[in-house]
Amino acid sequence: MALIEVEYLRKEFKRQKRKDGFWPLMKSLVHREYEIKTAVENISFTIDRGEVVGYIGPNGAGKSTTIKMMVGILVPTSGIVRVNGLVPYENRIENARRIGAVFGQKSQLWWDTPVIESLRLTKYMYDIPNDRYERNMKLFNDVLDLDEFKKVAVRSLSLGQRMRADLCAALLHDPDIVYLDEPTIGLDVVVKERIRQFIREINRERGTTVILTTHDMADIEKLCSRVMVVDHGKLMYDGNLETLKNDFGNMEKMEVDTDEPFAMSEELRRMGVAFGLTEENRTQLTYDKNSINSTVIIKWIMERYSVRDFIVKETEIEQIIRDLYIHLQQQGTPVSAREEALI
Amino acid sequence: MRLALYREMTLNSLRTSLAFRSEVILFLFGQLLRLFVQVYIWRALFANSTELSSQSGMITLSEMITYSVVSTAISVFATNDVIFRVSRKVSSGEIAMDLIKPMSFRSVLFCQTLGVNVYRILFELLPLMMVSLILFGVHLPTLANGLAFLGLVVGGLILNFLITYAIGLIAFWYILVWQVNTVLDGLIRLLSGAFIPIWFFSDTLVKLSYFFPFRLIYYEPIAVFLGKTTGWANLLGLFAQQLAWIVGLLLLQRWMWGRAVRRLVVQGG
Amino acid sequence: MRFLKLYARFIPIYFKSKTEHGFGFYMDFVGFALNHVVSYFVIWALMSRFQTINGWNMYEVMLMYTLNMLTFGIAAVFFFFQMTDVEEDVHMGTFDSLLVKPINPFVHMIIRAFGHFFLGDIVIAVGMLVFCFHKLGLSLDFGSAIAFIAVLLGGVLVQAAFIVISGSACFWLVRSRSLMNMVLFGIRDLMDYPVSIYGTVLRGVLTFVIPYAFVNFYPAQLILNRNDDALFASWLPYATPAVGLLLFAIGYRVWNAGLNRYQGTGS
Repeated sequence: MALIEVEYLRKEFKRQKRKDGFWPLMKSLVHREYEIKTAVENISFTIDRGEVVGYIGPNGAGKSTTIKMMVGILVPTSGIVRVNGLVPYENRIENARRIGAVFGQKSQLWWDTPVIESLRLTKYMYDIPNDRYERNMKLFNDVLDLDEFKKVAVRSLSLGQRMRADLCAALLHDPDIVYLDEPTIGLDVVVKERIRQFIREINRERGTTVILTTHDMADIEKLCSRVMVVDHGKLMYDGNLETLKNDFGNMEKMEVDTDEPFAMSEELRRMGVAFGLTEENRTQLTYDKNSINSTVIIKWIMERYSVRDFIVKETEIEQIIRDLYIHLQQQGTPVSAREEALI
Repeated sequence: MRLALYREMTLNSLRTSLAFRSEVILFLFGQLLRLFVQVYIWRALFANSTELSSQSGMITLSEMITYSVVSTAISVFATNDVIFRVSRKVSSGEIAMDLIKPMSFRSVLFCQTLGVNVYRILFELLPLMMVSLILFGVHLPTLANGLAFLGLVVGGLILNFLITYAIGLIAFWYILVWQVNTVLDGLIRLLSGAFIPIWFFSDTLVKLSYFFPFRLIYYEPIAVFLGKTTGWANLLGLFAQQLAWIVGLLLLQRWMWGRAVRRLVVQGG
Repeated sequence: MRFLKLYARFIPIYFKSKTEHGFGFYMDFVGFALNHVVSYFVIWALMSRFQTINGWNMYEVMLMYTLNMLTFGIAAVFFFFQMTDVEEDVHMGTFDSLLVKPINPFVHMIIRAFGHFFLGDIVIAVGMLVFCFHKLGLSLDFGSAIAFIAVLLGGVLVQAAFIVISGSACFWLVRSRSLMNMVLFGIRDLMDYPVSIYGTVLRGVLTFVIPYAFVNFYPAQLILNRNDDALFASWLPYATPAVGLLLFAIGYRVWNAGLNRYQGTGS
């Protein structure tokens, strides 16, 4: 049985229309107009134990709303969410025992209390037995290095320290699932790497299911076995990272250094190669790797120029996602590699 | 044009105040409630007597009710959050941003307060006065006293603004502005005549009230309104007192501001 | 009980972190206290000129004020900043953190803060209570002491209920703080003088609709043994504890309705 089941999930919000100008303002004192906004529209998916899922999409796409429904904070307008066989919003407290959550830049630790005290309170709140608490603390300390700031009040921690403390607090009770909303936002490279390592380890050693939203594609690349893309409240893509790369990462880039300046060639262009930035003897070429092989291009060039050096660059994940978003905007239809799995 | 800038600032502050319907209604309700309480208290205190002796001769119940109505009307304008606006800006360091704007921080604040006051005339004072006229019946002053009253109220409000602004500036040196504000509120509550007219005070309290400017904000203008203070000499005396306090406070502020800016520059904002 | 155990863990930590602020922490006590000192002065200034208001003398009026302050102070220690925190959380979007914890959010709300601000009020109130009792020549035997504590607790519950109800407005209104201030520092001020000075309608409202009269007027009637100015029914003072429990239960339901609304079921 799947750990998380989501079927035809939908969430609508009622928003007040804002008015500008003096008279409309006066009018709004008496009468207010509302509009209904659909934040999540008929989303369905299942997540199995031990998966690490990247839940991505542009700002306001409905990521947080979906997660809040999975956690039990929000009640769906319609549709079903089942986590561990429980409906989260009906059994919020029971559900809360088995999950951990870190919501981006908002700490869930007690603001004025030192980190260590805050963690100890978490222990009591989740009824964590002493030995497990000690064991986890020791383990987490090794990776997250909490010792250096454990006596500092949460409010005076740096962003990176706070995120480490929050992660620790969210995982102390060995939850089945951990929801991470933007866990690496605003952090420096070193801290990011440390946090990724921690998440990887937790997932590998305890089989904790991880669901994370992020704007940092490196998070996706380094952590996620599966990617879900939402836009305008709809699930647009659901599949593994490899498939996503194959479907949308087909544009490859090549940089060639030649002895003589490279002349643009109609022949190459007809083969499907586009010329990018050219400076002195270095030339950039882009092409669809599904329609033309890099060796064909290199062979063609080497027959005509003396090549000093060349690099083939795979498309970066950012570019893939950007392409996907653009594709979605043009098409407006979901691309699902998991379509069969859902039926 | 300078004036256009000030007008925009005032309008903008009015707009912000209007944006929240619930607050508009709640404030009105709050003011009415306070007035009701005062009227009921005076009714209970007068019990069966029609007039009571005071430092300013005999006072009737209906004069006391008028006193409460006028006092509430003044409080509509005299209540502002200047202290907290100043201190918040100081403690957040945002004040540095105001220093680089092409108008003085005090003018900005004054315009904002003015904007709030325009809104208060429309949504607090007018409804308040209508209800009071219908329910209680209010004495009206003679033309001369009415004009003098208006002049004194304006003077009193400027005085009030300057006092709160000066207290807000304390935030530069002293963090506990909130407590200082409590003390100030207390002194105003007790010694301005906002609730208990100074004519009902004991001699000691009357003497004490002369050491503070607060009586010039509430008590003196209302006494003029009710015709308890008349005569050119007396009226001019009141204006002179207000002027003296205003000048004094302006000097105090210039001195404080000078030191504050120096401090700001030294600390680097 | 788990809740009490958690609370016992939490309070020392809270105080430890607060006292680190040093001087400011102790000044917190002074702030509200100053306000009350002024209020007593106002009562003194007024009553020394007029002697009685509706048959209540200066010390009786002070006793009324003190009861209002004491019951509010005790309730506020557990609810006031807790509820303003909730309001802030709801507006900042950080309220979610209360909903992802395996504990009733109402309990969590209470235990995560402590209104040390109001301890100063309580100290002054107790001092003034002793002072008024002395001036009024009152003394408590065992039975009346029990009755006194019962009505006091009733009053505390009424005050707590009003804090919770008006604070829960943040789930519906954008700027709920004004409503909270209106109720707690506007309507409650009606009780600074005996309810009997108001007209019948207002007396009725303050007894049956917004039963603030149970925080001091009815308890004071009981303590002072005033049967002569009974309102509505002479047994009303004895109903104080029941009114407190009922109102607090209503407060808890309003809070829950607010939670439902926050979670998107209410609308």
